[in-house]
Formats: sequence, C-alpha cells, structure tokens
Amino acid sequence: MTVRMRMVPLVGGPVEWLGALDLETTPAGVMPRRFPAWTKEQYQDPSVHGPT
Amino acid sequence: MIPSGVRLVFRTDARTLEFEVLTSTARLDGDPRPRPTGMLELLVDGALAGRRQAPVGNVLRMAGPGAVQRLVADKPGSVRVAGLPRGMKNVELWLPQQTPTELVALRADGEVLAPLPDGRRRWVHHGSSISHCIEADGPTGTWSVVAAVLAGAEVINLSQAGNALLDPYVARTTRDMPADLISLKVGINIVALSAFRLRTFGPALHGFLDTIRDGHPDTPLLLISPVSCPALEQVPGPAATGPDGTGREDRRPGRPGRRGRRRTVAYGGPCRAGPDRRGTPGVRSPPPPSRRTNTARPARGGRPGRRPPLHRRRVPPHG
Repeated sequence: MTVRMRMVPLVGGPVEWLGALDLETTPAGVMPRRFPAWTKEQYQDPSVHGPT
Repeated sequence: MIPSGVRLVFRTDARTLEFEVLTSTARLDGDPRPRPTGMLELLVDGALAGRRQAPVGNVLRMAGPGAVQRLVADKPGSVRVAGLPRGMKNVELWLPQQTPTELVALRADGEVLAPLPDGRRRWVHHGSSISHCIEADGPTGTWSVVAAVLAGAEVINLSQAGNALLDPYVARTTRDMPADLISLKVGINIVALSAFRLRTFGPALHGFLDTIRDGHPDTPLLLISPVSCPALEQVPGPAATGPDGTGREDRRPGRPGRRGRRRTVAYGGPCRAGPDRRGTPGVRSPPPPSRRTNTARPARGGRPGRRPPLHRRRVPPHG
C-alpha cells in the first residue's frame, strides 16, 4: 500500500519552533538559531557561531 | 547553529512522518569518518516514539582542531518514522544537540495542526558546555531537558559551549524573552579563558543580571556556578592556562546589585568563581562535598523536604 505523503510548510504554517529565536532561510531549507538574528552582529569569534 | 534544545512541535493524526535534514559535521583529515551527527528524536504525547541517527550531510574537513575548514557539500538525508499511534497526538521533533542541522522538509500522511497551549511554565537557561550537553546521547537526554520534564516545565536552552562569558547579547536576549523562571550557570568558561580580572568580573556579572532584571523584575532567577570542574576545583582562578598563567587571583564577585538580588538565588557548585561565601546573607552555600550533585531543579524547587519550591523562595536582603 502506498502512503500518500504531503508537504508541511516549515515556516508560516501550523508547526511551531521551540528553542529557536531565529529561523534562517538557507538554500536547502531552514536553519534554526537559538539566538535572535540581531545577535550575529555582536560576536566575532567563530567559536560562537556553532554554539548559537 | 548547534540546535541544543531546538524542536519542532505540532499536532497530527498522521501515522507516518518523514523529515529531510541537512547536517554539517566535522571531520579531521586523520579520522576515518566524520564526527557523529547525533540523534533525531521524535516524541509523541511526551514519550519517545522514534530515534534515528541524523544522516551525514555536509562535512567540514580540517587538518586539526582550530584549523581552516574546507566544506565538502553533500545532499540532505531523509528520516522516516512509521507506525505512529492512531488519532490526533502531540508531536515533537528534537534536532541533534551536537550538530548544526537544517530542516529541509517535513512530510506527513495526515493532517498537521498547530500545537495547543499546554500551560507549562517556561524556564530559560543559559550556561556553558555543561548545559549545552553536546556529549549527551540524544537531544532529550541533556540535563536541562531531563530536569524540565521532571518539573513539568518547558525549557529554552540558551547555553553556549565554551562561550558562557557574560556576553551582553545573551543578557538582552534573556531579558526580552517570556520566562517564568531563569537560571544562569556562570563561571567555568570565564575561569578557563581567564576572561575577566578582579576589576572587571564583578561589574560584568552585575551588569548581566541587571540587564535581565530590566525585563524580569520579579521572575525567580537561579545563579549557579558549574556543577563540576575537577581541573579547577582547587584553584580560585584564573586558570593556570590563562594568559597570565598565575591561577592565583581572588575573583570575589561581591554582592549582587540592588535589582539583581531580588528573588535571586546563588547556588555554589564545586567550582566557584570566588572565595567561600558562607555566611553572606542571601547567598546559598554549597552542600557538603558528598552531597554536591547536579540537582538544581529550577521549576519546582530542590530536594524534597529540604527546600521550598523555588518560586516561593526569596532571598533575604543584604544588610
């Protein structure tokens, strides 16, 4: 039996993100970030980019 | 980008779900394979219903730790969870807590609806790698998630491995978030990086607390030092590996600021940033060594029978 799968929008749809304060649209999809987008201007050390 | 504590929540009557994800994991040139990507975990009505290894996607090659990274791009991979229970149910997809992960697609064989409010209190936590929990065996195995489940709270984890350094943007983010409880685990990265001196640590800590208090004047706030740091527990800091190489400076943080002390509980773990503060009004002393465990239970208080629930505790004013 074939299961009919339907796409669900990841942003602006019924699903809710928890734990992410920024959803960055990437060429592939959505990259959730735990800190708001404005904070990216405030850290220079690349070691911070991963943890955020 | 490492999404510790990030999850996608919804309701659905679907019995099969498919998630397409693109991970980005590191691989040292001398290693036979990339580092583990971590687990994707699916919870149905709060119970674990599916657990899958996140597929390897992009790989960041490097000669060694800290070396220049070379991106080897790859395609997203799919994870399918079938045989879910019939009927409408609450679903949570937790992303790996150790690997940057993009969600590319979600597919379902049923209706998908927005989650309903569940009434849980929101606990916002910030700390170091101890709280980031990259080494946990799954995203719902991090201590903050375990504690939140036990307390019936919803945790928002703002921890940053290696980077809990009293950054102002962290305080401002916390200030601006809805929160029923806030906890901060501060100290280990500061000591390890020798990030402050006696002159600068106290004002930085108080400024951090005061910024949060600007948005949360009455929210219970738990301030704890690291729960474990064997290498530094007998050294007041800065760490011997710091730029000064002394490991001798007394970094007494002083008393909490006027606004920062209200409903603020300081709970000292074995690696404290300052000297023994027993007897200081409003500052909770750590338990004896044999009882020092990772037992900070922010949402519903500490050990049964020993302390009242946190939200009922108040810190007495300083003299």
